[in-house]
Amino acid sequence: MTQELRRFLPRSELLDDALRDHKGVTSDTGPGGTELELLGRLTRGALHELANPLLALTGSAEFALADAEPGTKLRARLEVVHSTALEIGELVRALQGFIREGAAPVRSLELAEFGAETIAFVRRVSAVRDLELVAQADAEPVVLAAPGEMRRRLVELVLDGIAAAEPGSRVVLRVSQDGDDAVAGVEGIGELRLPAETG
Amino acid sequence: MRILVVDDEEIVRSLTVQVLERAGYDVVAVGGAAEALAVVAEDGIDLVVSDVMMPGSTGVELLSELQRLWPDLPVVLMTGGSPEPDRTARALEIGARAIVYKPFTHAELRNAVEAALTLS
Repeated sequence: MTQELRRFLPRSELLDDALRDHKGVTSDTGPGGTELELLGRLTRGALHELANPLLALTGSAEFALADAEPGTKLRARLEVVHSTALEIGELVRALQGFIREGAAPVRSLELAEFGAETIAFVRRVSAVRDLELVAQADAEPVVLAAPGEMRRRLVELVLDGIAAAEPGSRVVLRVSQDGDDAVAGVEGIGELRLPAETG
Repeated sequence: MRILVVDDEEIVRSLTVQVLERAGYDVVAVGGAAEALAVVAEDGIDLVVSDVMMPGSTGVELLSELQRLWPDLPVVLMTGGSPEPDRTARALEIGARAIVYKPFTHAELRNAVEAALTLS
């Protein structure tokens, strides 16, 4: 496939293509690297590259909207462009936030709030249309943890829950307290237990 | 209030200037850190809004130099989510007044600038 043709392929198709080609050679990218790690690194770069064009799009559309006459077709079309660009921007920023969180130091986390944020994040960045994603808090424990690691573990639980769920059903991330343990889990998938902070 | 915008991407620089001019600020713009230092030295700037990822010196390096030479000059950084997330944390540690994440709305940029000027 020529570079010129590849420019016009949807991104997902390009990624599938890259993974398929790569698997034909080896499942490892070299010392210390797996395919998913490589994909993660590429995604970081791609998110950064998307930020400026999206800013140009949302910023220009916002100016154009301010100048467009209310009630005109032009205004209606600009509103579609603006809101769509904002939606893509939200997705990009959600993923950027996920990456930034990976470098955040250990701190006290309110697990119920953290679980609700995790569900909102997965809802934003995953293509789930026929499942209900729910955060449920039976208690409000506080834990001491690295936010990035905690987010990654909870996202994995929710994504595994999504993969196992029947269409039309619910995936519930439930936060509770069991004695001295704070627990966050997805039924039928698994749970994460940490000592709850006291006082 | 006179604001200096620093970004190597012309379209981003132009948009940022327009947003701030419409908010009533007097705005000048340059494409890199070296020009930015020259403008601040000559022009009497009240606040700097700089991109983080730029060729040559980064926005964080510019921030560090500005802090050394003009410790009271407020700096707002714009970032598209650096591939090295530690950078943004370091920017706050060494004195950035605010960080705005691209793609930001006009209001988010105006609010960050207003907050930075209020803090100073």
